[in-house]
Amino acid sequence: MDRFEKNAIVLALALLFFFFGLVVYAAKALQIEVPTCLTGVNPFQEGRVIVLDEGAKRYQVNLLARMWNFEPYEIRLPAGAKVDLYLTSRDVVHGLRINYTNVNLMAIPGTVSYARVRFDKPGVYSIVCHEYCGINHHLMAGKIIVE
Amino acid sequence: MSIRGGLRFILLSEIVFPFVLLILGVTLGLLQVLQRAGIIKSTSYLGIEYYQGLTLHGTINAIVFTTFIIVAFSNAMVMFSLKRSLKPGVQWVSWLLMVGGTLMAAYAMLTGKANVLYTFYPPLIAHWTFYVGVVLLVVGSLVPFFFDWIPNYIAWRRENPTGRFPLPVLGVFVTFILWFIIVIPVSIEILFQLLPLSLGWVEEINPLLARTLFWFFGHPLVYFWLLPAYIMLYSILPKLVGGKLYSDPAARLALLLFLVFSVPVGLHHQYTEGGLSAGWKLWHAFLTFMVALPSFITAFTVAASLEHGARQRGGKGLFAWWAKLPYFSREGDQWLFSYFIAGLLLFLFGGITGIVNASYNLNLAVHNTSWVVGHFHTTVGGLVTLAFLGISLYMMAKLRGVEVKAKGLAVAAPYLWLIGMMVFEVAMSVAAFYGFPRRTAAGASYIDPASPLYHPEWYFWAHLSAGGGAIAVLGFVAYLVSFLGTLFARPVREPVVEFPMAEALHDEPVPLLSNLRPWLTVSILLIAFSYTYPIYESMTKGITAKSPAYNDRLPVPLKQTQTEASAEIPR
Amino acid sequence: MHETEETRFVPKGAVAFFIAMLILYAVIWLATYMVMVVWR
Repeated sequence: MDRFEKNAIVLALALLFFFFGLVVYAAKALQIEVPTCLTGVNPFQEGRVIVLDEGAKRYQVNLLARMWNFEPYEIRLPAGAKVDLYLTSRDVVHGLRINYTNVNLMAIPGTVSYARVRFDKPGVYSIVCHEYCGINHHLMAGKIIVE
Repeated sequence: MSIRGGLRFILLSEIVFPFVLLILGVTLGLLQVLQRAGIIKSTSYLGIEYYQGLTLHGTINAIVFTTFIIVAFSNAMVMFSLKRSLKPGVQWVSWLLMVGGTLMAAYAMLTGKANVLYTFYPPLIAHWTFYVGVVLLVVGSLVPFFFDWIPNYIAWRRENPTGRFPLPVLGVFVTFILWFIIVIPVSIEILFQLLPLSLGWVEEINPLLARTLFWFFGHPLVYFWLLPAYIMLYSILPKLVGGKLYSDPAARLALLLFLVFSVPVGLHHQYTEGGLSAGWKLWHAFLTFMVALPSFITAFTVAASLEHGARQRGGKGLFAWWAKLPYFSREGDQWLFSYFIAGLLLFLFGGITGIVNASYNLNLAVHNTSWVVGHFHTTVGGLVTLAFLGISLYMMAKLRGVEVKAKGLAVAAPYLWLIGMMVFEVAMSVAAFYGFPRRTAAGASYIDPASPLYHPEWYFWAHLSAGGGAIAVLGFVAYLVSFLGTLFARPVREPVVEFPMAEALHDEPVPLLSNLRPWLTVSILLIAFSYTYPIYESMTKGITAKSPAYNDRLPVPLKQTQTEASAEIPR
Repeated sequence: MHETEETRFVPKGAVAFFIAMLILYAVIWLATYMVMVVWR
């Protein structure tokens, strides 16, 4: 193999391992994790917000995606709220993205996705369904209002 | 190599038939980008609903057009490289399966019974003709590989016991071995889950397993599209610029690395799904980084080959030589160069946006947003489409025994496509960080100032992407003129199958790189290791209940509507 | 088939392009990485 080709391979691998290193750092050190397999959490049938600890501003949100809205579709939280978000679907596959956060989850019927998120900055965080789920998919949105 | 009668018709029709469908596919793409920008407000236009059009756009462009051109190109390249005629009987079987399957799927999509997009995720279910059509198309595309090319290669090998495995044929074989491996999981998904559910033979199916099986197929599918374009970059492009392929071993290594790393990476489409453990997603992320390596090798090798050609044409300096390449030449076959260089420039951005997609937690920022749409319009919608349009026009001219007509337009087409798709890509990539979703008729909600769901921060970018789309379609129209001119021109020469074949500068034989067996073994072991647990998890721990079928119109299971209303599903 | 004159061809232009490409890739990738970190 020609030496310039070998150099190209070494350089490319170096860049890829650099990227991969930063990915693992973000996952392990910065706790930016992708959803994993949750055993022991059964898909719920209706969406609601549960206050876990008022003082510590810890909440749990069971978000239910269905044809064609999120339940609850409007969630009010205080600034600094720390949320355990569980997502499932009652019918077909939906997708959930909370704008300007790393919350990006697929809602697959029969499974539960989980993400932890903190809302420090007050404002309206828009929620959008980003997986095609039928005729009114483009109307399926919600919002989280952080005061 | 001359070609006559039935075989000539098959090769010609395997180019013209998908091209006619592509005209519809590209038109629907334009309607989509106009709808997403709110320039078309309603979600149905010219009798086609937005998501019906989206299904047609994805299926025609990314499955039907690509598969037909890959088979046509591979047929011609294997025939030309081995200097052995194809087998008409086998080719007719393949042709009938592919055309028949496409017409079945087209029926289901055009009558609005298959609004499931080209990824057809259950529980949304389409009419059974959609699934059977796709399976027939895929099976038909595999027939030439097993019953024509392999026997031809074996016969060629007997006559050339010492001759090296021709690079383009190695490329075609790697492509179709990959294609055969990945057809297995998607066939299992269709034949054991989607089809029975669509026909009502089963009550419900496991949607998570269906997705895992689909993406087991879905990502290597993009390498099934990409590798024929790489074969052209390695075997044809250097000749067009008057240079040589910089390194034949490097090209072989790249192709064989795809055989090893293309398949065990599918979980990078499923990072954001519950039910699959993060550890295996990280393993698939690592393997996806490894499959980026052969593309880096290709980038360097193609650049070196272009430089070699430019030097022959007097190119000087570290960067000045780029100016010596035949960008606008219409001399002989050099018009084809414009398709490759425009495609490569788009693919430059396709590469990095793809690596971002694959980067595990980085995917959280871009998954299912317009970033992904920007990405694949520079890869399959960029390099692959332009390479296929270029080679289709080239092969058609040779098969009809004519010169390419309206060469000026033929050369302008890829550059218009490049400009349009580059603007489209930038618009979609930036809009993604404001949250612009994909697969959404945004014009009827998010981009409509009168709607309560209006998102002002997406408005500009949606319009910019519509502008980009329009310029790209302008390029397609320029190509259309040249294509039709060439299709209906009066023959002036004998029909032939030939390609401008490049020689290699560094050509030392490396036995390991001409022997598929070890690479295939490693590939199968890696696939088994990487997919056994995720599939087990998809079938057991990852999911607690199965799902009944739904259609895109009613928020209740199909079974319920049929038993209650016992009437035709309202259309 | 080795042409001595040919094989002395050194692809320094391709090396320059390749390095520029890797830098461009790193910039775009790191920009996206920073967005993810800011949104955490």
